Amino acid sequence: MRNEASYYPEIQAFIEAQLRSNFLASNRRELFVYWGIGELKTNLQRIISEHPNKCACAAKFAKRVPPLSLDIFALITDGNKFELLILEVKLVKSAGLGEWSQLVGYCLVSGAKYGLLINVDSGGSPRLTQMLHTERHISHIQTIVNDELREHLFGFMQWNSTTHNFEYSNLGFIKSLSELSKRLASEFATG
Amino acid sequence: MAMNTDKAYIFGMVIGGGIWGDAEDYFHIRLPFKQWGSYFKNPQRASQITRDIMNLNNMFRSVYGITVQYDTDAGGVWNVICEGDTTELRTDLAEHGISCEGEMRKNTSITKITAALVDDFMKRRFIAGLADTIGSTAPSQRRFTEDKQIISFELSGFNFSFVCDLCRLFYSVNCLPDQILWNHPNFHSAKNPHFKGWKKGFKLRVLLDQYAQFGAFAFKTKAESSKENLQLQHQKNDAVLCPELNVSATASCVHPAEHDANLPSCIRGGHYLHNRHVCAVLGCENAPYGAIKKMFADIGELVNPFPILCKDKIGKIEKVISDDPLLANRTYQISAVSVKSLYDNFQANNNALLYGNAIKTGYPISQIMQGIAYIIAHDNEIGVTRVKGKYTDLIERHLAINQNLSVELRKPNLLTPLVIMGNGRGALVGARNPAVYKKLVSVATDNEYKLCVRPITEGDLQNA
Repeated sequence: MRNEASYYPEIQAFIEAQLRSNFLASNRRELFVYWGIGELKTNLQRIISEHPNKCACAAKFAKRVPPLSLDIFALITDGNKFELLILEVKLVKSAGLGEWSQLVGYCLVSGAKYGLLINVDSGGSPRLTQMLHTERHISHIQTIVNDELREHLFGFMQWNSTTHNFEYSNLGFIKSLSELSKRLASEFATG
Repeated sequence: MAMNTDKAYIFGMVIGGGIWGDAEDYFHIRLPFKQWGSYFKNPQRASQITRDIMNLNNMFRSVYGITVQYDTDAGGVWNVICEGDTTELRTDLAEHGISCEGEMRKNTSITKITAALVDDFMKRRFIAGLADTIGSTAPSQRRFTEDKQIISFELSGFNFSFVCDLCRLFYSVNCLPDQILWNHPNFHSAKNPHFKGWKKGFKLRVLLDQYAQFGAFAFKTKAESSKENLQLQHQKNDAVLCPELNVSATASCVHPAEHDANLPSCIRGGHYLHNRHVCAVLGCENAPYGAIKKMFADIGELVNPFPILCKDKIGKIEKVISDDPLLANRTYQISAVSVKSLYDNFQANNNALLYGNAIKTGYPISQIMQGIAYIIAHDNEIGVTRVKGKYTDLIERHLAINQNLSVELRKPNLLTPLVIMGNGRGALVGARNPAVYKKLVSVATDNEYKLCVRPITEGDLQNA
């Protein structure tokens, strides 16, 4: 019987491949995706020390971010700018508001702009599905921290462990990996 | 529009199965799953297919705002009905030189779109879209035995360049196609030039071992079916690079449809000894050019201007003879021949040539026995013109009941086809005559790999 952590590698590989591929198609240059599993601050510092040329842009952020225990996160950078993507991976019959809230909390605390709730081989609870359909603001949250506007965008997807592919739920602000890629591409457009 | 991985998948699906009409807010994707996907044959799989299609709905909605529904029939054809504003999808496809008209895979060039797939991952998403529509994982897809399981990409029509581009795309992700079957009479009707139903389509077949490693599916049903098929194998199969393939051919007859107007001009008018011969004429960089050229040395053995074996009702065989002056103007020596004596000859040497007029000429006994099997069979032992089961078993069965069984043989005065008659049925068996047939073949002026065969004349046979 597999546990949820056993799906991390295949999910990471798929997301990374999609993001890199789409960035190459849109921006004609490379995108770098570095993964951390577990505690955010330590992992960020490790990534920066391992890839100083590409990740120096995240150094200030890594200093001020609080310690936070996560499932998986990705530091996505083109070498000049970076964004943080947090994945909340679940292996449950139906992912509910509890799981969604957990992801939202992690993103708000860490300042990560992007968050994906991923349930392996199952979808969302009827309650969460309805909420994401009708309450659009819970997947697009803006906060002001130290007079600085922060935006947090969320999506909910299902990982199909047979096809090794995402099945979109059409729920949340980020509806597909290509949409996530498009946003990253436009943010990193200036290089 | 920048290509992305989700669009690549959608484009694969739409090109693989998309059928467009005049409506701007509607098209459908035909999934020709046949028995494999029939709710009548396999309700559990059919139920999973509906789930797969509904997952498509979310993909299409999130990328293009198009909603998806489906219908199906007991025959296993599924239609993914796509409704909504299709303008953006049409515009995106138009950027790649693809117009949304009719049955797309029949008239679309994928040269431009495959060039826009920036890396292997994006290519695999496009391939997954095609695999989910036209990639057959039916259990019958295997090479000879269960130890070589196959996924077969099946296309109707005459879009040779589509097949060529798709094959190149597989090659580019290191997924080497195992076999290619071109929609051409030399392959679909290699023995019978009078068979009109030769347009059976293209097949591009990839070993499942290869596809599992380098390909992809998004339909769970296809992925599961592919895994089930793989479990039937007792060994791993490696693919062979096309230029390293061992190419061998058997004789094929010259078919009038070699000049069919549907064939692309570079193919039309040519005679093809092997499927990879078509690849060479199309100029594919991976074609086994050396092996193809090598076959040209034996061209007289590999081409036959007559039917190698043509079986039909007696009236139709008589019409074939009367319509062709070369056959009609012969004098035939008619005799009743014992089936047992011919079968004894066949068992002694199944490569024997009968009634020839020089070395290496005559009628192949194996073809004669196949013709005889068709003629002596009871109605319930044949399909349309095909004997059910092994033809040798059928002959032995009938000889066990009647040792004195005979058929009427009409032997022509020149080496035109031998005629076998009986039981209201007839068969034509073409002779081997390599020295004469070789003289009919020439190489096209514009392509050193394209062979053209002129019609045989009475003079060719008389002056042999």
